[in-house]
Amino acid sequence: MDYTQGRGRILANVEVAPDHYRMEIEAPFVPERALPGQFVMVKVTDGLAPVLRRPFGIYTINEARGSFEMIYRVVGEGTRLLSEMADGVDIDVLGPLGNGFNLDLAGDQPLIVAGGVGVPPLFSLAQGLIGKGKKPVVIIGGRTADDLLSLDAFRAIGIEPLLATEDGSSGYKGYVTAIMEERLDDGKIPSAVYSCGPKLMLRRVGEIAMSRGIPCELSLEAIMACGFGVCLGCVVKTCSSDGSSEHDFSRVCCEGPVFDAKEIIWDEA
Amino acid sequence: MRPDLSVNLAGLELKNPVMTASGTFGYGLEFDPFFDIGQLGAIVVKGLSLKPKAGNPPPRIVETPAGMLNAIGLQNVGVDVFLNEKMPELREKKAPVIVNFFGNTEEEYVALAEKLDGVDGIAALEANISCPNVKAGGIAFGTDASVASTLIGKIRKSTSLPLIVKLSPNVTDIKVMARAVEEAGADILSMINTLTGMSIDVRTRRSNLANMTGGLSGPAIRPVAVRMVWEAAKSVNIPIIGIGGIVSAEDALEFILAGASAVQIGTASFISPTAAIDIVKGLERFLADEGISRLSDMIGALEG
Ligand SMILES: Cc1cc2nc3c(=O)[nH]c(=O)nc-3n(C[C@H](O)[C@H](O)[C@H](O)COP(=O)(O)OP(=O)(O)OC[C@H]3O[C@@H](n4cnc5c(N)ncnc54)[C@H](O)[C@@H]3O)c2cc1C
Ligand SMILES: Cc1cc2nc3c(=O)[nH]c(=O)nc-3n(C[C@H](O)[C@H](O)[C@H](O)COP(=O)(O)O)c2cc1C
Repeated sequence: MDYTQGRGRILANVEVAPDHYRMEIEAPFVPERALPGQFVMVKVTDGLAPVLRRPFGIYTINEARGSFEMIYRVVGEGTRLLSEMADGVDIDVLGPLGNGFNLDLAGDQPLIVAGGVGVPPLFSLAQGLIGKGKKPVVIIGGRTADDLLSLDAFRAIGIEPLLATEDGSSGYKGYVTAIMEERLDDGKIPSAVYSCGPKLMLRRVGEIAMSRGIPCELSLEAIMACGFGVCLGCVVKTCSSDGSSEHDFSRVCCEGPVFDAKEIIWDEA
Repeated sequence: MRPDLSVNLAGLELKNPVMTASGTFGYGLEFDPFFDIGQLGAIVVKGLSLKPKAGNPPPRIVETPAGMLNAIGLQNVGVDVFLNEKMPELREKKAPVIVNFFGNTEEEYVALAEKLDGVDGIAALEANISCPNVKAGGIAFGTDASVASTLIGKIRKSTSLPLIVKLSPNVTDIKVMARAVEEAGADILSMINTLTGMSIDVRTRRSNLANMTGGLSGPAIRPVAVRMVWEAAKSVNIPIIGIGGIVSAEDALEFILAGASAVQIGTASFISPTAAIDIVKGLERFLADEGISRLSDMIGALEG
């Protein structure tokens, strides 16, 4: 329970791709404690529309500047209001929240598989892994070339991401999981897999990793009201920890957002 | 001079009238990083059942205009885990603890009341009667005056603690329910629980909640809640705790003027974790600014 609520200040809020923005917020209590894979809840208005905070993964953690960045896609009213906030304005931030990735998963050849707005939290993960002397391989996917986020940021830390787009406008035409499987078939076996992105992608990434016995962590999303464990709204179905029931419900905000792929029980559909 | 915020609810002495609402404050300890919960009038913990309860499948919540729908399904750790693992730490926080509890049969309610009776640190019990009565085909205890009355009568005999009964707003006439529960032995009423609602995704043609329907909370329900408190206050002689969409001290005062002796803060704690303590400070400021020395003078002081 090492989170705080406080005022932050927007240092930058720039459109980095169509409908995608990068926001840097000065709020020292976040970078002081943040771990790759954690998230923040921000208030997008002082009014009541929307009434609840919105969760966003932490993209970069900049202790020296007392700031962190997030990248978000405009999908509704909350993110639209966020995109209109000006530099220098105050913003109410709650965080850092959630568990974060385990950087010490087996071996030093991890694979990172990212899709859409799942990319940002995996960038701070990549930085963390490199800091531990590991050599992550990164696969990034999106619908079109425009959706491939943060490529330059990865290149700046010495990683050339492998790309996949659904329409073939950049890199491989198809899904990130096709690249992942092809590499595995070629004998390029990662020591661990980390993933964040759309649900179907996560599920597939987890299945592939588990079928080959590779440790795998998945970062999930869920609609949440509080972000710190009290509303019990953001649960996902997970394997029973003590075998006393068919399944448990785990809170994405506290037990997650990062789960061992083996823990998740996916819906039938 | 500092205004006096203390209130006395049928013998339950509180240093201020602000409590947290069940299900929105966890077991209290989750709020430790934000403020000293010992400064609140009382804290009401997540509803407890005899056995742990897993709750409903997701999605469990959806935002609605100025509010939210929830169908958590009363997930909780069960009374034993609460008493063994949460209560010792809560006791140290020095906040009066009010335990909200529920069952699916009269026997379960009674067993819980007996178990919680006399536990050090528990200041009062709050019976949530908006739960399905399994033996009566799942109709909520709190929607039928005679069913509610029988239930409360039995709980009353099982505990020496002050008994708060939390009313469901999903009834035709709240005055009838309030009177029935008072006659059956309730010491205090708290109201309102969530209003049953529904929200549909028109593209997928599915309900936004796996449970189909959920309970509406937040500022959207405040006018309904204030009206119900006002109606109930005119019908009973026991104190009332007002609940529903309170996000500011002014909101809390609406309930107090309508006849509530205290208030509970629910959904607001999700939006701002310090909401409850901010409202205590806001009440103090309001009274100081208006030159009112005692908050209790405002209870039921609605004009006209
Ligand atoms: C732990 C976590 C980390 C996240 N990180 C990022 C991130 O780094 N970048 C980013 O762009 N988005 C991220 N999201 C998703 C983001 O929170 C939602 O897109 C945002 O809340 C939508 O708000 P809105 O008001 O604009 O849209 P709304 O009008 O509320 O909803 C528009 C659409 O988005 C969906 N949605 C709403 N809330 C969520 C939610 N919490 N999770 C998933 N879908 C939701 C709705 O079902 C609806 O289809 C994250 C979510 C979680 C839970
Ligand atoms: C997520 C959530 C969970 C709740 N759980 C309980 C509960 O376990 N027992 C109970 O009596 N009321 C429960 N409630 C109802 C609240 O205590 C309160 O009566 C209601 O939310 C109205 O107040 P508000 O508008 O301030 O939130 C819950 C409400 C919410 C939003």
